[in-house]
Amino acid sequence: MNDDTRTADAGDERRAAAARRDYVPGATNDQFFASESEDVSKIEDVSKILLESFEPVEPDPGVWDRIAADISDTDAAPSDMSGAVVSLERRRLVWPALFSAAAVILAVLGTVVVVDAVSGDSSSFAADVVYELADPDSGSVTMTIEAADDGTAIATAMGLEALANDETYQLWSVVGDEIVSVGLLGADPHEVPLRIEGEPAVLALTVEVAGGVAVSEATPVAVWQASS
Amino acid sequence: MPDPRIEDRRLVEQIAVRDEQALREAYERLGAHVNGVALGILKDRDLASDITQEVFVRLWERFERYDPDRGSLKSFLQMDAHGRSIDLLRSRRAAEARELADHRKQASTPTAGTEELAMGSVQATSVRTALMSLPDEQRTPIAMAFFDGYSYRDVAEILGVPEGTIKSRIRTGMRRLQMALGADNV
Repeated sequence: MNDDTRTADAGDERRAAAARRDYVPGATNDQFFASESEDVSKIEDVSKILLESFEPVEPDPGVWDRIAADISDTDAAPSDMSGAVVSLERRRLVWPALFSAAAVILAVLGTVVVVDAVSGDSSSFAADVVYELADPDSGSVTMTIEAADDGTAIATAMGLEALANDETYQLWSVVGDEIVSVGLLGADPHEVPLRIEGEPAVLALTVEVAGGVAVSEATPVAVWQASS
Repeated sequence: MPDPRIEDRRLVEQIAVRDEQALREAYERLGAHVNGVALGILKDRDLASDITQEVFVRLWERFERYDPDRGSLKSFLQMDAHGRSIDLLRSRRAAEARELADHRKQASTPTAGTEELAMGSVQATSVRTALMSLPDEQRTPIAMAFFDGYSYRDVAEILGVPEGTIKSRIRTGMRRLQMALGADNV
């Protein structure tokens, strides 16, 4: 088998293998750990140690050139992002549970939280709108999200309870009939840069297992809904 | 010396805004660690290079998968390299098994000492010592699954032990490793 043939075969194999897997943050070998979910976090720790014990080997010359060629084909992000974008999952998903839960909660409360125009007095972030997410029980605002028209945004927590290390806050957006995970905010968020795409009808914050979920069944701990 | 986690966050933040130099910096700092895992699993420099390339391109395209609160960028990329290498290993093994259907057992069954060969790339003495201190019945299935990419079912079939027993032995062995290695420090 010549090199070209082998490279093509390997590429096909990897694509086929990748298609069978959905990599998620921190995910490990799914078949190795799949049925040991209760031990995953501990096993992950061990696996990290095992992996770090592998002897480093410098990649062959030319690997970086191939990487650079690959990434040059990708689209450029907005060049004026003032904040970073970290821990954001933009998975399209079906999430009737949260949508209905949010709707019920807001219907019971009988209120909507107002979207205020920002006067431009933020320190360095030129926000165009502010979303205020409120605790469904108390009605008090526990998170604000300042967003610019280009989608860049900063979420600021206000009195959110710090979670255990194996939990995370996850932000969701409902745009049209799609429910999208905006991102993972961590267990004890303060200011988190993120992106808000489109004009959301609902923003909701849930508590999930660390690493986040693709579909949430949790009751939102904070919600914003556009006024009708 | 700057906190590595802060440095990791900074790098990924720059990657998020399409700073190619930041990816280059990540590659220069961590490329050998990623490549080392891929080479250790695959035992093939060309394939390891392919995996290394894929891991960093994926970091560029899906930087949001990395959560600095969950661990270092090095661990994250190494786990990605491990998962992709195992996937490739399994794919190749499956293809090989199809081609050698008449000799399936010979093609896929590890011989005595295979796990020691598989662990040959493990550099740290403490890790090797911890692994070798495990009873054979735990070390072998762990090595087959972690280093060779066999599924629980494959391990059970090859070793002629019920799958549930294999799961239990791996779980017990991993717990022993955790205690021996102090996984809390990761």
